[in-house]
Amino acid sequence: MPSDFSDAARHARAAIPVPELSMNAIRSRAGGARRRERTRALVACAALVCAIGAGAGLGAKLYGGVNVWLFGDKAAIVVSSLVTTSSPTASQLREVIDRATFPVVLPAGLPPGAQAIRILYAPPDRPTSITIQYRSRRSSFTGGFTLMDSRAVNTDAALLPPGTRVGSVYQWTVGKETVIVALGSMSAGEVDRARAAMLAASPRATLERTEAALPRIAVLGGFFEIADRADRLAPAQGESVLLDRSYVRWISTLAKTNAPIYDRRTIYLSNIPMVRGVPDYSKATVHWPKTVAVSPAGVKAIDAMLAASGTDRNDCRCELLVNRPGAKTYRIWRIPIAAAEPVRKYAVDARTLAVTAVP
Amino acid sequence: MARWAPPELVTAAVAGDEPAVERLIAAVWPGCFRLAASVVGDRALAQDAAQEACVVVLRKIRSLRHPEAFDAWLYRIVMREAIRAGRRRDVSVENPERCLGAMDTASIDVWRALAALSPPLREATVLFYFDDLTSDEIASILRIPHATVRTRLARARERLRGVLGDYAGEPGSAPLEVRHYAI
Repeated sequence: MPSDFSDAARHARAAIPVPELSMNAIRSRAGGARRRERTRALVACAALVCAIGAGAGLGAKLYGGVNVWLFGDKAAIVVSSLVTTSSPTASQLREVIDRATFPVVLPAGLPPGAQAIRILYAPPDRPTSITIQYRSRRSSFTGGFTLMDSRAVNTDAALLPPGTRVGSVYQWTVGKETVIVALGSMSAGEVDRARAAMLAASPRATLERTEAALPRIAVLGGFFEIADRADRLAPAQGESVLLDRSYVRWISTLAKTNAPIYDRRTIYLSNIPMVRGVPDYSKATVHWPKTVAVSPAGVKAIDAMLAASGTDRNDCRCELLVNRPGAKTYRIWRIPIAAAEPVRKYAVDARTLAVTAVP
Repeated sequence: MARWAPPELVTAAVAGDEPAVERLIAAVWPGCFRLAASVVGDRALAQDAAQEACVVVLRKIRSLRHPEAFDAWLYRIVMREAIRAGRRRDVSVENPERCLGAMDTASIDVWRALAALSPPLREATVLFYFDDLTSDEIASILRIPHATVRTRLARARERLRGVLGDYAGEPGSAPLEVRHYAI
């Protein structure tokens, strides 16, 4: 038994003086980690978005947006810029589809509960390439489809930038659209079902079906289950935004500085460099359009509601659904994270900030 | 396996109780730091690794399905962060007091002996001798085969024997406080 060495080792370790714990440093690092994770998530799905490999370098100068080369069941992709929207609403999806250069047949025949969780497209004004990433809450299904304007698909290998990786894919055409799915990203059965359903469907039918599964409200973080609940609660009238607990903490600071809450779900990436044969999204030029999700007046209304309801801002265990049906009133639902607790609804006068609990 | 924190605290943190998460981090912080320090042999790197491990706890504790898996989970995280931190600098603990703080002679011998091991041998040694983990548990934490753990421990023992012997100045005549290590 190595007990002697063990004793000495434990004694030596116990003698190490421990520095003071800094929760602020840990929280600050956690913020950085969240940003890195978001970039990694972006990389994971953009890469492409089908994991068919990519290269930008030379391509970034020669081509704009996303360019795809197809050689049978092999594909290569070059990305120089793209736009990504996470947790898209039905209207955001429709806007992208309406601007596309081709009649878009969206993925169909997906497993139950599959919902589009991110859209990536390029170029921003007239997309020739739209990638949609799905995730199902009822099954383990995740998958990404790249939908290309068939006219924008390259087949001339001579134009492929040197060093671009070529990967195996499933690919098929539906009307004027070429669909690409990375081999291994979904099972062959799932791909077959999607292909058959897409071939039998019209662009309009697939759009309606996809929209029906998307939230009507802008979901700025938080739990999927709460987002579903909030989407059911949100009235048809006026824009609705769901804020997670992290926003609850900031509200008083934002209210004091007369600042709005920005919607940062959409990100523009350009000048994506190629590093060792792979596009390095962390070094791309990133632009967040300043889309206001909740105006400074709305922030003050939320602040008043939190004060009136006695909500613990550091530990509210809730998310907030904010709706503005008209110029005079804000309606705010305090949705507890625990499903057993009741949802509380408040009306806040936009001018006087008077808060009324609504039964 | 060592108990990092009271089970009820872990359960509350896993359930999403935010103050409990902070109390849990405060409870595991000394252990995280000391484990990382044992692996990297440097205070600054250990602090960095321990903070990164606590960041993971802060962000991911809610995704832990079984609170009883917390101990193994945290070991894995701290080891991973410590190994990453260790890669950033090749630490040679010729002067353990400068790297780890003031200590007694016996502790200096331990750290010097540990510094003489390659990182893979050091990692297995730390978990086996400092934390009293079984080779199965070490295999699971380091995600390596059980046989590899045993090989590393055997090599580490061999190496430590030689190193601890060398400290005597004359091979084979190590001072008592070194020679009595039964490894």
